[in-house]
Amino acid sequence: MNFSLFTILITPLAGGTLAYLGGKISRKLKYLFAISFASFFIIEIILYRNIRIDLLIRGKLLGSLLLFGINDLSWFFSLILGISGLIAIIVSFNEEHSFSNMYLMLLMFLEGASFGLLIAQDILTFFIFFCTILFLTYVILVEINHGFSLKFLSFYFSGAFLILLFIMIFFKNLNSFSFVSIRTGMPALSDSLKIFGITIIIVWFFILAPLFPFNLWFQRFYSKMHASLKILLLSLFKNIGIYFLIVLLYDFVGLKLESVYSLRFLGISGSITFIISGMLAFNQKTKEQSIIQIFFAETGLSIIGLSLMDSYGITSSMLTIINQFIWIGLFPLTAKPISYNFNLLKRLRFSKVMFFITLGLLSGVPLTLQFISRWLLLTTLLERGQLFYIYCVVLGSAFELIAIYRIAKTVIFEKQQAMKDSGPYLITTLAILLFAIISGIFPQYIFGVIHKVDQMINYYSFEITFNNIASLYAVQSKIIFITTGAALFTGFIFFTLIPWAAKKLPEKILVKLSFIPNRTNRSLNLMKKEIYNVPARKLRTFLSSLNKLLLSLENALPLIRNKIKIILIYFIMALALISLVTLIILRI
Amino acid sequence: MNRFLFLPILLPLIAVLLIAMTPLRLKKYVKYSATAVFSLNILILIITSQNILKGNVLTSEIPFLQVSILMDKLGLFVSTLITSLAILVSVSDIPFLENTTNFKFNSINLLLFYTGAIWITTSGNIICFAIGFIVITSAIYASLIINPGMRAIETGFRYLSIGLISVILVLTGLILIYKNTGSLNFIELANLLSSLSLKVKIFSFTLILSGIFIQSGFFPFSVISEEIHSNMPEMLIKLIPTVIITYQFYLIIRFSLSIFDFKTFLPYLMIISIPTIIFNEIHAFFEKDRKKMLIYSSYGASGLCLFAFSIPSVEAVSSGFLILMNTVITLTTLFLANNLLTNGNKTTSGRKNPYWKILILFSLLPVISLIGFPPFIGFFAKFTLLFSAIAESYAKAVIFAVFITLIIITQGIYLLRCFGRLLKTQVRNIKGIWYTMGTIIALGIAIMLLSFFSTSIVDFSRNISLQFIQGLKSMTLPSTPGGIP
Repeated sequence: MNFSLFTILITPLAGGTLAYLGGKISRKLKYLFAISFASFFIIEIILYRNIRIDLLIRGKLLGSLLLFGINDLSWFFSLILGISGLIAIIVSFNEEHSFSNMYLMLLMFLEGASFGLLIAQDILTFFIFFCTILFLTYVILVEINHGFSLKFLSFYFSGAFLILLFIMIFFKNLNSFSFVSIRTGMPALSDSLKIFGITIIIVWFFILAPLFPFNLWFQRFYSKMHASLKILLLSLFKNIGIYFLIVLLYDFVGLKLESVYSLRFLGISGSITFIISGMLAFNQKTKEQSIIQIFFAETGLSIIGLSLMDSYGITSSMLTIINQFIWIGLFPLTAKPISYNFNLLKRLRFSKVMFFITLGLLSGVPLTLQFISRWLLLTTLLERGQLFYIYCVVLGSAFELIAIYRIAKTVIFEKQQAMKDSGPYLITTLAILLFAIISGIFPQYIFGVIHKVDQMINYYSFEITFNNIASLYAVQSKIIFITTGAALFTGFIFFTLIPWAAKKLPEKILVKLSFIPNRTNRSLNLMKKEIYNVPARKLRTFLSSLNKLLLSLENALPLIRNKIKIILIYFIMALALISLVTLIILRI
Repeated sequence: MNRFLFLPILLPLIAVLLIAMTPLRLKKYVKYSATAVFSLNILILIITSQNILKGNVLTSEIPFLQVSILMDKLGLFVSTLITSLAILVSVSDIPFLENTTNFKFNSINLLLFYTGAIWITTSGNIICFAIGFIVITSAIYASLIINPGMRAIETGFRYLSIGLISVILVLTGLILIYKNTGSLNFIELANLLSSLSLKVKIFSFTLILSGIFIQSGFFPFSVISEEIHSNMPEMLIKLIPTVIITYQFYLIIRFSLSIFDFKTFLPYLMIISIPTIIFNEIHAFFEKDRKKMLIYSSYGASGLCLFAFSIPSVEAVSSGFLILMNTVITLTTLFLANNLLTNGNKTTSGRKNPYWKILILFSLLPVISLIGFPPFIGFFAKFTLLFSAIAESYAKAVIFAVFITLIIITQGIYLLRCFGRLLKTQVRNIKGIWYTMGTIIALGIAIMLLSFFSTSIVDFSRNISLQFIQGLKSMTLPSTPGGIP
């Protein structure tokens, strides 16, 4: 018996219980317990980096042993889960819940249950943990509305029965639940049985991820949730689905005809999802809904990478997963503190900067993981000559960019509830941003991790290793993509940030610096005080010169501003077309 | 020693007599009588269970009164289920019995209701069974007409006709058997019936079965019986899943398999059960009145149990037992919780009371178990049922699996919707709320214990099903021969 895996499994559970009890005493104690245990969970997982497998046998259920073990694949997904759990806890810091102690406890229990699912080495344990997750989700969502929670449960529970059916079929034929026996017994099974099993799991994945057509309905579920729960659940369900899909198609079935065809089918549906979710994203009413649709679209993109059956594709897919959880975590962290009314509070400048960096991460500018993942995907697709996929990726990216532009606009101009930057928010945001930027510039470490996963998947012998900086070198050699990305980025900044700065900043700065007669506005007076506390003279001279510039810009820009949207769309379309043409030329 | 077995059926009758003779100054002890009798009965059942679990079939007979007792594993299982739940429900009825004016009548009615069920489940011959059936029918009738108002009389009359028809049909079937075989004892009958012509067998069997069906929730009779059952007093309505569903289920199984030995009849049970399930579950799904919804749900669950029995394998039959057990516990819990909601002053706002939180927790456990969340007992039940369905042909397996999945999801949605009412409202100022709360907590703990000892319970249910699939024909009577024609 080896209890070391159990200690990791128990960590979030103990943390949740302690947070609940601590919450009875004080709010700070609650978050202290929650954050420390969530970070401890991440550290424990990192310690397991080099351990291949760790078997643990607990007890008997239905005449079968419960098996647990950790490998590179489950390690990778556990780490992502741990980090998104931590972000979710920090985001819940500023939220209001009717049962806040219970909410935090359930969040941590969800984390623990999903870790249990990832380390399950037999399919029954997998199912038990999946049902536990569903149950916890049901309880946690009751806070919003019972009917809503029930609807959510019924959708996912009908999916869970598909897994139960899968389990039953394989248990009937192989007389065992464990992954190892399924792997060894699979070749002897009949083709129809295999296809049936794969079909069931793919349908389950379509519900879970969700892919087209489920993405049309599921966005309204997620848009009602609190930001913290959204962060956790979105990445949790999707990652569980992708994890089990990899285990099934690459591990159980292997590279047989069935898995090849089902992967191709998955790839096509992923690309359709990418386009449709991208289109839906820029048509949504609120920014939350747009963000969720973009998340679904990115899932489609990672499925395309997964379906390619080579290391480039899988690496790009994993990179998309990492990037996805980074920005889905960053978005609520940075978007909330930005406020129209408190535009000039000094502290909030951090948030502004961070928000725009987040948007950059989201839109896939060069030197981010998003860019590298897309680059890898496009290179593979070019080598294969998959024009349909290339077209889908480029078009979907264009749609996504438009959606991001709209999100930026709403975040900047909408009147939100005023709030300040708080310490944990800032620290976490900074940490994640640093991670995102450093990993974008020096992706070797992440490539190393993904390489291990890739080896674990073990489909054919490796030709290229990612431990060196080869891929980044490749990026630099094909300069055209960098220029495309840079052009996109500059265009984006030019058309979104400058109008905002020209319109909004100068008037208030003028008020602050008494160039315009002071209005009797209490908040403005407060701001004025704050400004005057700063050593003023140098600032005044600097700002007056800046002010002139901005004023001239302000006079110039209203002419263009009305047409910005149209121009931007044309601009992006043109870029998409150009990149398509270049891709085709490069291929020839 | 086997005479000891008469106690479970005699004790309630003695208690009924005692209550009828109680003077008014001992009024306050009457409300405890039902609980005391049921507790004594469960003690006796536990004592006898030692012998029965070894595989013996206990029989006992008083030739003078033509009363005979037969206790095998199936009988033990069903009677223990009925008795143990009857204890819990009777505990929750204590404040109700205290308040009403006709407390004697209510206690006697409760006892008779239980007596009928226990007579049927332990009966070893035709007479015992017939008496039990008549007693339970008359107890339902009495409970219907005791309500004030014209509506009670109307439903009472409606039930009178239905009850009479069903009793006459059952009695006719029994007389037909007796006339052709000349025996009253079930074990003897099981041996003698095999020599009879198939026509007579099928005819008498159909008569008995239709008699049982008219009162039950099986399609198409469920609409009639729903109207009757929903008009029963609150005291007895909680016992619907425990007593009525369980004994009807027992009767169908006992007659079709143990006595008549119609193994070929098993697949035809599916023809009855599938429309029953679909009809009742759809009704329950769209029903807005929670009481009626729960009644329809219990009919649907009995259909599901029958569906499990129609698949001729040990696993399926054992899953039928598990589903029965789980359904009975869950629906009783929800009936109790629903009673709380209808009785007290409802408020939707304010902080939740501590007792209300406990209620929510312990009523959620059985519901979650029934839907089939692992590692609760309902998961094992549904797992074995699905598993045995897959043992059939490939296309059949898919259809069965989809069918069962749809049922379970439908069931889950409306049961959780019912549970959602508990979340939204809370009730204040109920006298003796802790009697009901105690019962609900006990039921929740029962579900947890059953789930914890799931492996041994699955084994036990397999054991029962093995024995009863063999039928009573394999057994011989150790004692004196049965009735004299």
